[in-house]
Amino acid sequence: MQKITFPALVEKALHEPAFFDGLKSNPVKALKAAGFKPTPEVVAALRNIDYDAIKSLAIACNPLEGPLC
Amino acid sequence: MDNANLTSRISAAIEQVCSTLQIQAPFLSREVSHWIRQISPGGDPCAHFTHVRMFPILRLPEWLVDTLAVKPDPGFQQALMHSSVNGYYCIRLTDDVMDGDRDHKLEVSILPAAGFFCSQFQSFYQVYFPPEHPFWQRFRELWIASCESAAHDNSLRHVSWPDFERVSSRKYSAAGIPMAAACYYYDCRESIAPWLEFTHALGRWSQMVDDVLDWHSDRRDQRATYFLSEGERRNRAGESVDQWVVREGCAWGFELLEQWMGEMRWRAAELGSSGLQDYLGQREAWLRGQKTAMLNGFAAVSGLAAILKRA
Repeated sequence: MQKITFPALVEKALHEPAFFDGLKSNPVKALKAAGFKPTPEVVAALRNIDYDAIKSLAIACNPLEGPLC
Repeated sequence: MDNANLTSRISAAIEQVCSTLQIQAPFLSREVSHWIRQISPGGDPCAHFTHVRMFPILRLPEWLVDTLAVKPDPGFQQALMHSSVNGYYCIRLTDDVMDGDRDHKLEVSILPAAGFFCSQFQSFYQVYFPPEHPFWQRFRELWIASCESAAHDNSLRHVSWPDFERVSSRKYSAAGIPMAAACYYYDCRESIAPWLEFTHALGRWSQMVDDVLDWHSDRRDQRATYFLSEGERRNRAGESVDQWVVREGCAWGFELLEQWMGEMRWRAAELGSSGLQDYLGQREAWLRGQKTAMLNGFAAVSGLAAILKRA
């Protein structure tokens, strides 16, 4: 499976919260599903990611039914 | 004006729009009411006009009148609000049809309602200003500038700084109409120029807020904006616009917005409106929250990208 490109990762951050829920709760399964090799170093590093910040980003960039906006 | 009073007056204006439409155009009425709820956050049309991201089109005339040495006429103030609700829906419907990114079928089917809204928007002013009154020259200038800018902006495939200054941020020109009307009605013509300048500054700021916050959906829908055009100009060789936004574009956009906010706060102090200054303070605090959320979020995404590169 092709690995995720940077634009695709941004796309997921903004529109696919389930991907990050998976990385947080079951990183090995989520990494395999996305075509990555879940080495112990990578799995350990994923524990330091601020997933709440990614969720807040998605909310901030939610294109609201903005008026004149 | 307190929030409860504001909400009740906005509700009354929206109710009047819907009931007039029901009487005069019953066929259009049902679908238009549906569209009005659809474009409103949470389906509440009143909340739409008080939403933090909404341009304060209904509040600007109130803030202006508070600075004048006159006793406000409640009937006139409510007429302004009612007119502006119609004007807003007219512009919004036209914009939505041009953008074509929402419920396009519904929007096209109710497009003739733009004629209703435009007629209602104008008819309130006809009660207060005879045809030869200088207000109408202002009305035409501002209304046509708004229409022209909306069409021109929609045609741009790349937005330069001059385009942004002269076109994109002028889409808000029509918001100056109720301001000019209030100045003429209360015989304070000297207030027209400074308040229109402020309205332009707020329009420019609001447009840039949209550019920065909606950058991803704008890119997805291939809408040209000044922010994205700057990304195409400033990105490094081999760097995508997405990467530019994450690396420096987002911080650059917020820096510009903070600078413009400082200028607007200075102008608001000069105008002497405490209501406007309070509003800008709220918007500034809200913007700080958005900035923190986006910069922290991008930092987390960048960190994740670096980890996944090693996997």
